[in-house]
This record gives sequence, C-alpha cells and structure tokens, in this order.
Amino acid sequence: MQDSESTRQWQVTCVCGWRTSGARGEVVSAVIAHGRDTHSQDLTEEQAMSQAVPMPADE
Amino acid sequence: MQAIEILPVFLRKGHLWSLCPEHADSFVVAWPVGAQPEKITEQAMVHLGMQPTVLHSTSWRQAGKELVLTYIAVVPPSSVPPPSWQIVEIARSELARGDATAPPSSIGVAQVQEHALRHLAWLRKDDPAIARLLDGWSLVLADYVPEPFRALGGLAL
Ligand SMILES: [Zn+2]
Repeated sequence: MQDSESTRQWQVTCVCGWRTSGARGEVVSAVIAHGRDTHSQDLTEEQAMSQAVPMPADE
Repeated sequence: MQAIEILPVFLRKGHLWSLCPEHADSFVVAWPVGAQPEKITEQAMVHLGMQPTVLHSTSWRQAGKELVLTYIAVVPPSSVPPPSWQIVEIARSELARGDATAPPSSIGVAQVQEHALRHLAWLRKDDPAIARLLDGWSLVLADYVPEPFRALGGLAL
C-alpha cells in the first residue's frame, strides 16, 4: 500500500477543540482560516502544520 | 481511522467539574497507527498546559469512521485550561445502552463521561495507587456504580 506525500492524510486539533483532517493542502488552508476567523491569528503554512499528525491514507 | 478523546476532570469543594473545549463536545486528538495511546494523551495534556495526576482509558466507541478511545484525566483543581475552555459542574447522566451484541444507537459525551466516572469509582476501590491519588474523592464517587468492563462501543475488548 502506498503512503506517498500526495496521498498522505493529516489531522490537526486546535486547543479550542476544533478538528480538521485531509491532504496537506486542505489541512493548511483549513487551519489558516480557523486561526484567522476564530482566534484572530495569522498563521504561516509551517505554523499550520506544526501540530499536524500524519494518518494513513483512506483506501 | 482512530482517535483519542480526553475528558479532564477535577474535584473542587466537594463537587466534580469537567473542563470542556469551546469548539467541540470533547477534546479529541489524532492517534497515529502504532503510537502508544497513553503517550499521545500525555503529550496532548502537556500541550493544553495541564498535568494529570490520573490518566486512565475508560471506554471506546465507534464514532462515524473513527474508533475513539476515551481517557479520563484527573487534574489538580488549580489547573488552568486554555482560555476559551469552560469549567462545568458534572451532572449525572443515563448510560447509553445497546443490546447484547450491538452498540447503542447514539452515545453522547455526557454518557461517556458518566461511564468514565463509574470506571474511576471502581478503580479507586481496586487500585491502591489510584486510591491514594484520589484521596478525598470517596464521597463524590460514592454514587457512581462501577461498570468497568462494559465497553461503550459494544463487546468488551
Ligand atoms: Zn481553535
């Protein structure tokens, strides 16, 4: 089973309890939007991925 | 997919309180395949700025596509959760019940917490180390009927 960067799934839980998961790009976009809209924080891509946990890709 | 749910609780002035995140019913973190759940849970608590005195897995359930393993985390009453979190006095709740071979049709966090506290009540009687750590909890746990071996999600693991 392949687990390349392109198929890898990630999950993030914010300290407020909000969660998101998906491919790297989806997670980065969601976390940046959540930071901006909910916490009035501007996050970089690196910051957005700093708490991301890699998960196995969906089959 | 699998995840870990953490239910932080503390005892203050003879009452049980739960610490609840603002944007979810409970705090749930990813549990990567092969990772030790207790380590993931400890790391998550450190990230939240809280140091549990007791950390114990109390149930599991299927939630959508995820298998969720629940930990109760007893923290000192002086613990300070993240700013947006709420501190809520715990009320009793009916347990979610399925039948002999099937899980309940729906399980709420209050029911998971009720089950966790019943488990803690049993653990306090069974484990001297936990009893020492939960000195002062006897009255508040007295009404919780222990059901330690009944997995919320169906058959016991
Ligand atoms: Zn948040």
